Formats: sequence, C-alpha cells, structure tokens
Amino acid sequence: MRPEFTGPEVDSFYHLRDVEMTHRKCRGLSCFAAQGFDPATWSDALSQWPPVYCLGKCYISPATTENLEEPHVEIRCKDPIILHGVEDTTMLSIGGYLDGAGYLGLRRALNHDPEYVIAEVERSRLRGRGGAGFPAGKKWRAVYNTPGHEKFIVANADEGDHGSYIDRLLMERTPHRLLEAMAIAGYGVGAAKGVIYLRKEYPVAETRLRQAIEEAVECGWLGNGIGGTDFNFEVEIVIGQGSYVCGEETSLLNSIEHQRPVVRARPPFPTAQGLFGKPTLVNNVETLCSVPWILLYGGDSYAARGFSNSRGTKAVSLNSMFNNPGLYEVDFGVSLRAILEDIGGGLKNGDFKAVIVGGPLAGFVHPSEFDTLFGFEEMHAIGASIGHGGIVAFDQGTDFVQLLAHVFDFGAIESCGKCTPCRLGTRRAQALFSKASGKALDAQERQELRETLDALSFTSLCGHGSGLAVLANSVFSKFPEEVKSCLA
Amino acid sequence: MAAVASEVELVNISINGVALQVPKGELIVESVKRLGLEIPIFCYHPRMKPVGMCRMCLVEVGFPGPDGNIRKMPKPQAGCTLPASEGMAIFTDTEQIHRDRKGVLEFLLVNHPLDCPICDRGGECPLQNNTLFYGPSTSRFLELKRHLPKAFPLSKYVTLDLERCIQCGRCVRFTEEISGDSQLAFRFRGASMQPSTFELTDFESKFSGNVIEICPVGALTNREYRFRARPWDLETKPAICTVCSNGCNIWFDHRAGRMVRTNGRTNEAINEEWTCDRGKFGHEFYNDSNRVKHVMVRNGDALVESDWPTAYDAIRMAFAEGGNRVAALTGPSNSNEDLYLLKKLFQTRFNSNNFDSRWTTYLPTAEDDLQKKMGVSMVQNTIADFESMSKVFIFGSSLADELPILFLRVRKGWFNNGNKVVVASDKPTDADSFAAEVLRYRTGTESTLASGLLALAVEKGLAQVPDATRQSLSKYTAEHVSDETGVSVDALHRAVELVAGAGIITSHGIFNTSQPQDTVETLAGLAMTTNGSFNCYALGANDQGALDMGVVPFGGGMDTHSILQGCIDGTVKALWLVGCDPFELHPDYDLVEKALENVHFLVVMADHQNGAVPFASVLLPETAPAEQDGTFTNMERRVQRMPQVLAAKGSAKPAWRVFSELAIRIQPETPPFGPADCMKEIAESIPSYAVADYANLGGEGVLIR
Ligand SMILES: Cc1cc2nc3c(=O)[nH]c(=O)nc-3n(C[C@H](O)[C@H](O)[C@H](O)COP(=O)(O)O)c2cc1C
Ligand code: SF4
Ligand code: SF4
Ligand code: FES
Repeated sequence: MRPEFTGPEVDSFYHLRDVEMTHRKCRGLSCFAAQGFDPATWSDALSQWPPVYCLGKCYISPATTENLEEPHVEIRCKDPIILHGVEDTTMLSIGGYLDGAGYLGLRRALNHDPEYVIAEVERSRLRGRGGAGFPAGKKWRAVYNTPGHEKFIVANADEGDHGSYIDRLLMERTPHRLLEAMAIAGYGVGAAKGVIYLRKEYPVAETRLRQAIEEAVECGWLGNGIGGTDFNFEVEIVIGQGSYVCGEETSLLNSIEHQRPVVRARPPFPTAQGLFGKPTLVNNVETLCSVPWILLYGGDSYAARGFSNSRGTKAVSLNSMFNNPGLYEVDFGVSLRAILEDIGGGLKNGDFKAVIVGGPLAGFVHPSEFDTLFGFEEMHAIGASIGHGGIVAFDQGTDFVQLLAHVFDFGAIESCGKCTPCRLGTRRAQALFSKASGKALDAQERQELRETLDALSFTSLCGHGSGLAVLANSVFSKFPEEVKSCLA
Repeated sequence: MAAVASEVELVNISINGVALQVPKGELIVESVKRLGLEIPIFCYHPRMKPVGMCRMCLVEVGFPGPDGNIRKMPKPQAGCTLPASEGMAIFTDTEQIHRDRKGVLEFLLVNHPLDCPICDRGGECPLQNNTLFYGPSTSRFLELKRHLPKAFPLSKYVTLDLERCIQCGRCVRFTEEISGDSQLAFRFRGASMQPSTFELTDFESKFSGNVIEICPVGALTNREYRFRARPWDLETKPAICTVCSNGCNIWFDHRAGRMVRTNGRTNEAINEEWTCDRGKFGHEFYNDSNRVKHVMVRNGDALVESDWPTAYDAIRMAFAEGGNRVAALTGPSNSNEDLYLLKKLFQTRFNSNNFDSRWTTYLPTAEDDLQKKMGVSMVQNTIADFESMSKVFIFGSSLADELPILFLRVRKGWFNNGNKVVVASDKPTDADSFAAEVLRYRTGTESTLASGLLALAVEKGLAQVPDATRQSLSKYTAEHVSDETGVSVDALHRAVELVAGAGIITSHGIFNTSQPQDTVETLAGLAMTTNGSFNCYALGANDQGALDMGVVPFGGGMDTHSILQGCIDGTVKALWLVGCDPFELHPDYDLVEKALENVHFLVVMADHQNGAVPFASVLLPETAPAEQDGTFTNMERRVQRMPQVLAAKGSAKPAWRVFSELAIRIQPETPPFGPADCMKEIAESIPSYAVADYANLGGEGVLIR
C-alpha cells in the first residue's frame, strides 16, 4: 500500500550504483591483513573512491578486479555435501549437474507432500550459514505455517563478510544446486517465486546463474508444471548496487522492493511479512545449497554428520596469509587448529597473531584458543563465531589500533544510518582509533571510546552496529597489550 | 473506541513491577502511558508507523522463566516497536537503561550545533528537554560538529537547518504516510543521510506546515515565524481556524496584540493534530496594515472618519423603508451570533427577509430543500466517520483544496484500513493517487454521470427504486452516459459496485456546475437507495452556520443574485454587506460593480479593506474572528467556540453587537449581554442548537443533528 520510491533519493544510498566493476582494488579485512604482500595495490585501494569491500578473492589478497586467478578447492571431510562439483567446472551446465545426481532432491520432494519437505529439513538440524546460525527447519516451518497464497523464496547472495568467497564459488561452479534448492524451498513452503539477491562484485556468478536459469527452464526444472506436477516456480536475479548492510535480510528485502534499503524493525519477521509484505523465506546461499543433498539422502543422514548442535559440513575459505589459501569443506567438530594448521598449513610469514572467522562483525580468536572445536556454540563461547565461514589470518606485524580504525571506517561508510548509535558512533569510534594510532588517547577520550562501544553494542538496531562493538571488545579483552593507547 | 476495546484480546504484562492488562500487540511506548509514565522518544510519533530509528525509547524486557523468575533479554529493546505479549516484564528505569539513553543522547548532541539561544524551537524542543532529563551534563566530541547548510529554504513556508537535524525521519514519514504527497525523502546513507525534497524540487505540499511541528528539534522551521519571537515570549490560546469549513483546532500564538503563528491543536473528531497550509499560514491578515479600524461616513467623494452614533443614525434613515427596499449579504466567517442577530434585525426591525449568505451560481430555493423534498439531510457524516467507512465516493470536489482535513481523514481510512475510494471529477485531484477508480467526466456532465450511476445500480439490483424513477432513468444507458461524459463503460461498471452503499462526499461547489439540483438529488437518491450516506458540505468557515441560522431568503425574500439585480434596477435601495467582498465571492464581476455603483445606500462592514469599500456610504469596522467571542458551525455541523484572543482594532465591534445596538435604537428591548446570551436566544428559535449552550462547548465541540 505504500507508494514505491525509486529515483535519485533511493539511488543515492548505494555507492556502486554508477561504478563499473573494473580496475577496483579491494579494501576488505583480508586485504588489510595481507597489505604487506603488495603495498602499492593496498595504498591504491585506500585512495580509491568509492571503495569496494571484499571482492571475494581473499586467497590472493590484496585483490583486484583484474586478477582472475581461481582458488584452490578441496574436500577435507569424508563425503562432500556442499562442495561436491565445486572443485572443477564439470557441473557448470545442466548436463554435468544431472550426471552428478542433480535435481534428484527436487524430484524426491515432488514425490512427497510439502509437509515431508519441511520435516526433512527439520530433521537435518541444518542451521543458517549467513551468520546467525538460525535453525533452517524452524524458519521453513514458520513460512509454511503462515497462510497466504503468495509467498517468496529469497536467496541471500550478498556475501559481504570479508574473507568469505564460499557463496561466490557455489554460484559460479554449481549454479543449478542453488536453483534446485530454491525450487525445493518453494515447493515446501508454498512459494512460486524466488529471488536471488546477488552482489554487484560477483559478475561471473551473475552470468553463470542466468545461463543456468535458462537451461533449467528449458529442461523443465523451473517454470510451470515442474517434473510433470502442477508445481510452478520461477527465479529472478536482483543485482545489488553496493551496500554491505543490504546483506541484512530486512534491508535486502527493502532493496528488492526499491525502498530505501534500511533495516526494518522486527517484529514482524520476514517469515510473516517479508517481501512486499508477504511471507518470505530468506536463506543464505550455502544454507540453501545443503538442501538438495538433504532431500536426496534424508535429513537423518545429514544430522548424522557433524557434532554437538552443529550438523552437516561447513565450507571454510582461507585467505592469502595461509600457506594453502583456498576453499575447503570440513566436518563440524574438528578443531580450529586442524583447519588453520593442517589444512591451511600455517602462515606464510611466521606465527599467527590472531584470526577472525566469519567477517568483521565477530570477535577475534587468540592463538591460545585454537584448540576450540569448530561449532556454533563452541565458537560463541570464546566470543567468536562461525559466521559465513571465511577465515582471515593476521600475522605478527598487524597493528591492532590501525586495524580497528580501518574496520570502523568500513563500519561508518557502510552504516545504513537508520539508528543513532551506529550512524554516529561508528564514525566517532573510527576517529578515536585513528587518533590513538598516532598518540595515546587521554583519559577522557578513553572513557568516550568505552561509552561509544557500549552504546553501539547495546542500542544498535541491527548486527552491524553491535557486531562492530563485539570485534573491538574482543581486541580489548584478548589483546590488551596491543591497544594500550586507547584502553580505558 | 470503547466498544472495540472490549473485543480485543488482553495480555498481562508488568511495567517496573506493576502488573497491568493491555491489548495484545499494543506498543510498549503506549502501554507505559497507562501508568502515567513516559518513555523519551524522538522518532516515534503515535500517528505514524513506528520505525525504531533513534533508539531513545529503549527499555529492558524480560519474561518469566520456568522457575517463575524474570529472565531479561540480553539487550534492551526499542519500546516504540515492541508489541505487548503475555507475561512480558518491562523495565524503564534501570541503571542500564539510563546509561543507554545517555549514550544515544550524547551521539545526537555530538552532531548538534547547540545553538538553542537562537533556535526557534528553543523552549519547546524535545531534544533540549530529553537532554535535561536523561542526558550527559556537557557535550564532548566538540571537534566532530558538522558544518552543513543552515536555513536552507525548502518552500515558501519551511526552512531546513541540516546541522540541527537528528535524522529521525518524522518529516519524511509524514509526507509518505499522512499527507501522501511523498515530497520528502532521505538521501545518502550513514552519517551523510539527510532529509530533502524529492529530486531537490520545491517542497510542494498542501500540508507542509505540519512537519515544522512534528520535527523534534528546530531543524524545520516556519519561515514566516523565524526569529519573530521565542516560545516563552508568546501567549497562546486555544482557537479554531476560520480559513475553511473544517474548523481545525489550533493554538493561536500572539504577542503584544499581534498574531505570531498558529499550531495544530488536538481534536480527535476533526483535525486530530494536523492543519493545512492554507490554514496554518492563513492568519497573517490579522497583522495587515489595511485593517479597517474606524467608522467612516461618506462626505461627497470621500469617506471621513466618524463615530458609531452618526453611523447608526445614517443607517436607520437609509433602511427605514424596510421590506424589499433593503437587503443584506454575508460572508464566510461571521459567527452564528452575528448571523442570527442580523436576521433578527432584518425581520423584526426592517420587516425584511432580503438576506442571503450564499454566493454560488445556482442558489437552491426553499422548494429545493432535500429534507422537505426527500427526507434527506445534506450532512449525514462526520469527518471521523470516513476513517472506518469501507467505501467513499468523492464527487465533483478537489477535496485536498476544498476540505483538506477531510481529505486527510479519507486518505487515512485508505492507508490504514484499505477503504475503497472512488473519485469523480472533471479535473485531476490529489485523491486520484489512492482512488480505486477515477471517473474523469467532461465539465458540465455531472448530472448525467450521477444519473448513469444510479441507473446502473438499479440495473444491477444494487438499488431499489419505484417504477416511475426506473422509467425516468431508462434513457441513461451505460453507453449513452459514456458518450456524454467521456467515462468508459467499463469504468462505470467497476465504479458502480463501489459507489453503491458508499459515503458520498460533494461540496457546495457543486452549485457552480450545470444542473446542480439534479446532480445533488440523484446522488442523495443513490445513497438512499443503496444504504449509503450523502453529504454536500459547506465550504466557508461558517457557511453551514449561516444555513442553520436561516440567513437564506426562504421567508419570501430575495436571494443574492436578485438582491444585486435589485440594486441595479432600483428596487433595492439600501444594501448591507456584512464581512463580505462581493467582487471576490460572486461569479459575475460586472453585475457586482453595477450593483454597488447604483445602490443608493451601501453599508460596508469589514475587518479589512476590500473591493466594496470605495462604494460605501458607511464603512463599519468589524472585529475579525479571533477578536471576538462567538461560535462557528463546521461542515459536519459541529459547533465550536472561537474565543477572543486579540483585542479589537481601533473602534471595531463584533457584528452581533452592532446589530443589537441598532435594533435597540429602532425599538428598545433587553439586549443580549454577550455572545453566550445570543446563543441562548438562538436555542429558543432553533431548538437543535440547544446543545450548543456555551457551558457545553469545551472539548471537541458539539454536533448538531
Ligand atoms: C549487517 C549484516 C550483514 C549481513 N550480510 C549478510 C550477507 O552478506 N549474506 C548472508 O547470507 N547473510 C548476511 N546477514 C545475515 C542475514 O541477515 C540473515 O540472517 C541471513 O540471510 C539468513 O539466512 P540463513 O538463516 O540461511 O543464515 C547479514 C546480517 C547483518 C546484520
Ligand atoms: S546498526 Fe547500523 S546498519 Fe544496523 S540499522 Fe543501525 S545504522 Fe543501520
Ligand atoms: S528535519 Fe526534523 S523531522 Fe526531519 S529528519 Fe530531521 S530532525 Fe527529523
Ligand atoms: S522512539 Fe523508539 S527508536 Fe525512536
């Protein structure tokens, strides 16, 4: 019922709107960590406007749009679930995908009623890979239970978290798996339309997805009367215009609606009133890509993998600081050390100073915590997270105060501006950290910084403001020696 | 409201340990008010959807755990977006909350210029007040203050100071949700975010003034009022707006005898808290230099200053012949008391029924009266009725221009409740933007369209009419009506479903179209036969009051046109113009000019100079509405009191007093002591006005039915 707003006011929100994705140098955290490998590129990145944060090429950080090198992909668990077909390009086209048991999950779903689909996802104990780890089955059930003849499936392909290039590879190498998953979801919750919200930084993924959609429509896996049933499902791609916060699900929905893409207050939740006010399932790409396997082999088989409350497998991506940068599928429950040292092979330059898992809205992990087991609750217990699964390592040369100034600059540039603490507090914190990297802050400034971080942490509307505070607080508590110039 | 409330599910919550029941889903920011508490807010506005932006309204929230103890959520929640649910425990007064609020306020102050001493909002600013109660004692972060454009003019009326803006979005949301013109939008993001006019054009809204009042800081200010005074220098009085017939409630701020500004005053029955720009900025004339302040009497070519006794004597002589030789015409903003005593003067002292308050091209006769003819009243609905009315039919009126506050209410019904609105008009109107159907007819085909809709309703079995009527409608086939009016047959078919049973809105403006009586009777018939309702609303501030007071020549007198014609042909010798400028009000300029030139004796009674003054034999200074006490009847027939705010200018008198003083000179009687006495007298001859006794006129006013 609201008028739709398009026009320069809404456009002015996005920073990549009129920007060609060529000759861009990345300013993301992984590239910050790896700046020593190529100081010239890094300094270009810092002076480039508008900035780009994370090109999804953290295995070659400092990255540029011109460097087309592809990452190493390897299965480091018993049987692959998510990276099956991602190691090479055999599943790019529908023929290859079908040869690898493609669309059989959807076939199975269509042989049962929607309730069966929801129940399988519940039994799998699959949790969201977009950051929060919310049980997927619960979300599907909620959309399924909300009455309404028009519902939507939205794939969150905005992969903004620095260090992660998982979703990018999933879409570039196995685009059909995402389409299959969305169709299964549509059948399960009762939706006939899916939208992939893809970030502008991933042009190759766009081409591959568009082609895959064409093929799937041609072969009858999308469109009307799928698999000879009366189930209809179509998929549309919406390209982001440059905004980190658009990865937050409600902001993302506003963006698709051409509204100002600011975060919506909840309730109502998207499962009840999402896209255009209709019940909507928003899931991350990797979350969705686990679903065809679950339908094919059963939720119980999926739940049998992993450990604790973290079931199935997880893709992790390691940045260029590692000896073996690349994308790996691992079982939940291995130790972080196993990932960093056995798989990653340790750092190219000396010892770890810290790593960050899952993007800039989570806490740092101290080397003394490397024996933590890789799982949602386990990581949470040490003030870190699984997040997206991108892992950025920092070597001994890292200056934490500069790092924090850089992250808060990112935070201020990307703040949607809706809520007071984040709109104004991120910039304030950046100013104080920048100052502290020159000379120590005085007592009053330290107090201010403390209060700014508290306000960010307790009063922000979404995870952007509060997550940044988590990051800073983790440095304060785990690396006090490094931030003596600003610790209150 | 009470009836609705009993059906709503209640939940048990506690606020700071006090248990209470509230409707399920009520926002906590509202629930706390039930205990007389207040949560500080900036972005929340009770009449708009909550957005949770400013984070000032944070509260701690808990729920009882299995052991019965309250478990608090790890983070505070915004009270303005938090719906009450069973078992919820709210804390508004904890140390954590105080710290968080202080933190939020400090951020806002960082970016705020703190130029309170020169800010128009100083003294009535939520930011100032919240800072005083919840804020830090001093603002730090001094080097961070922004430097942005100050005093950027958004429109003729509104100025934006970006340094003061706290990005709460109230102004933007007002234009999206309430006025619907979407004239403001946010640009950019993060700390650069700023409200601006859409595509940087002029802020063109019929309701722009409201954003000045809802801005929680002094970022949006009144260009006319800027720096004119500080709030604490002002005196303010509750008043009503007399610019149109909606009768909005306002605060009338004045200082040293001058009108300074008006602000919306809450009356849920009428304007809620809004005003339109025409009203809000339409009171400047009080301070004009061309106010009429003294009695003037013609001496040859010139009007010379005189006094009331001289004027009264001259008028007595000129009006002595009475009957059809004398006449009076009134304007839109005389009070009921003025109008009643005018009528009484003419009937009892001049033995004349030659008076009229109407200025439209067509003037309905006594026989046209719908009540007598069809048993139908011209006014059946209140403004508030349109909020819950599922179907509304606006006919021949540009509602946002003619009745702006009614327009807002109709729009609100659509926006909040999805009410269906059909607009029939010969020109584009603002209501088209949300209308379910727009019927754009050729000018002059109003009555054909109305008949066509009625005929179609009959055909579809939506309306029951006697055979004779059915017969007379037979020529109005959809095709014929479509040919005549230019409205497509399909549109007629779609519209008829929505207009059958609708609340119909038209205005006295319809009497300026061709065959208006047919149109009005057909629309009234359509409403009657489909269980809808019909309204033909008055437009001038007290036009409805004038009809109620009987300032129409139905006792055998001449109407406005005949009176003016009579002035030309010499039948009318003496004419009294009461608060009206015929050049502005009458459609025929030449007729007016000839009439005023020819009439022997012309009394012009006015509060400011007008086109008739040069022709006056006697010029009488009349107090303007806010300079006298009296009652006005708005378009929904709600009587409200307009109290005296300003002193009379010069020797001006209220019109009712002039009529009374003159009447006593002609034939002594006990005069009314004041307007309250006048109302008592009115009630005696017009019983429906008995409820409008001055003792009853507080609050929302009283509705006459
Ligand atoms: C600031 C912010 C940015 C986010 N960015 C992303 C993103 O880029 N990709 C993503 O999948 N989820 C992102 N999320 C998480 C989403 O809001 C949401 O939780 C997720 O899409 C849900 O999918 P899942 O349940 O499958 O994880 C972000 C959240 C926040 C607060
Ligand atoms: S925390 Fe930041 S990004 Fe999130 S809603 Fe607030 S301003 Fe927007
Ligand atoms: S101008 Fe006023 S109402 Fe508009 S966003 Fe700024 S502070 Fe809020
Ligand atoms: S009043 Fe609740 S967030 Fe602004």
